[in-house]
Amino acid sequence: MKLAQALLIINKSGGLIYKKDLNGANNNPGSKNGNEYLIFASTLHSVFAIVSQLTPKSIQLGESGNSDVHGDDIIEHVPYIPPGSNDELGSGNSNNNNGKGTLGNNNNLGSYHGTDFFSSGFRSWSRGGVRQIETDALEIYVYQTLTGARFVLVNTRSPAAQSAHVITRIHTADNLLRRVHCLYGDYVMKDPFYALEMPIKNSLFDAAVTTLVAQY
Amino acid sequence: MNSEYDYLFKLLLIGNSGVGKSCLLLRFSDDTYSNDYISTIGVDFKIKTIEIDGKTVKLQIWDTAGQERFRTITSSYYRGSHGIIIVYDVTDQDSFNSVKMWLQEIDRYATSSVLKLLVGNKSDLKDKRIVEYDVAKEFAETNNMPFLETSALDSTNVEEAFLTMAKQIKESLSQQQKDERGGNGGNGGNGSDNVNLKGQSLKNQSSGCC
Repeated sequence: MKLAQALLIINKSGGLIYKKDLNGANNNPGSKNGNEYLIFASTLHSVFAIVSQLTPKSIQLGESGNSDVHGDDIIEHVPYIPPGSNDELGSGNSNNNNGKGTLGNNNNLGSYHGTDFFSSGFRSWSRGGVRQIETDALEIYVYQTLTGARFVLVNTRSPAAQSAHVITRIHTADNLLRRVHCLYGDYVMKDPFYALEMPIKNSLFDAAVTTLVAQY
Repeated sequence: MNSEYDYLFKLLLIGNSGVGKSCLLLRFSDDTYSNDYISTIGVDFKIKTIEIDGKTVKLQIWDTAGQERFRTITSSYYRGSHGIIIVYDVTDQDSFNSVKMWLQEIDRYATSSVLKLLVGNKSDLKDKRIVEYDVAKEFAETNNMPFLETSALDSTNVEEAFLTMAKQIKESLSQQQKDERGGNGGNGGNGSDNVNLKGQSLKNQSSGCC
């Protein structure tokens, strides 16, 4: 079952520059009106602004010596999780070691690194921001980039997904959103007709995101 | 499919507490007016869709709290703004005097290319007027920004204030794009900081070196 509801990209100034309904529009009453997503995105941006004021400086600076405070290494260091491995844990590992040719076309994201954009863990750049928000109906995951753009994944809440530890869920979402960030770098940033910080209207990017999300 | 709009502009309203920023925004976005004073908490925003040159533009207008105690939060909203509207109250000298301070805030937090607009609100209160039009106009000119007097009550100039700003942003944006793409076309006179690739030959300098 697909849990992902929507994927959003929020620019550094709080504007929604990309949104994608992932689970069809039928069970998502707010999806018709673009303004609602805009309002959602900007409200989220405001939440970040307030949260970062509340977060203690020691966490924001992310010094390794302060890892005994809440921002410990488990949260900061995100392990590599190959696409789709949350369904079948075994299948993911084989993807990792295989070369370019062995995977199906739909699995290949077209990076010069091979079939995936990265193959090892990474550090989360989130400092004093929000990583995850849980509501009665939804789970919202936020991937923060160094340039200030934020990638947001909205999932339906389900008991099955809930069984995984919250950090595992954050890591899975971070892996997905990091791949979207890579696609953003490849398709949007390299588009000569794209105006920075403006809405993304790139069909290639859109198609690539669809392909990527389908693997999850 | 994604994005039914072509552009998303971020406008910011700043100014002292009680000058009518929220009323101005309410008049522009919903065409309503309320005489009640409700202090904005932190930041509020409204979205209005307009059309410029056949392109759909969404104006996202962030209305900040004027009160000092919200300053730490509101300052984080300057980032990435395309246009900033400084509002003062024509019946309140203090609010006009503070415009200088607001300009400093802009210099500190916003990008240098941001477009500014000075707005004197409450122009309908003619008998209570303290800040004269000419004084404000002169001040605006010395600081290189356009100036308008508005009234959120009788909606004088409210549309104009926002639409003028939106048009200017659109123009400067397409100008930027032209500069980026145009190569030698846009080079030179317009004061943009393009890298000069013409340079000079290095041969002349080689004699003095070891």
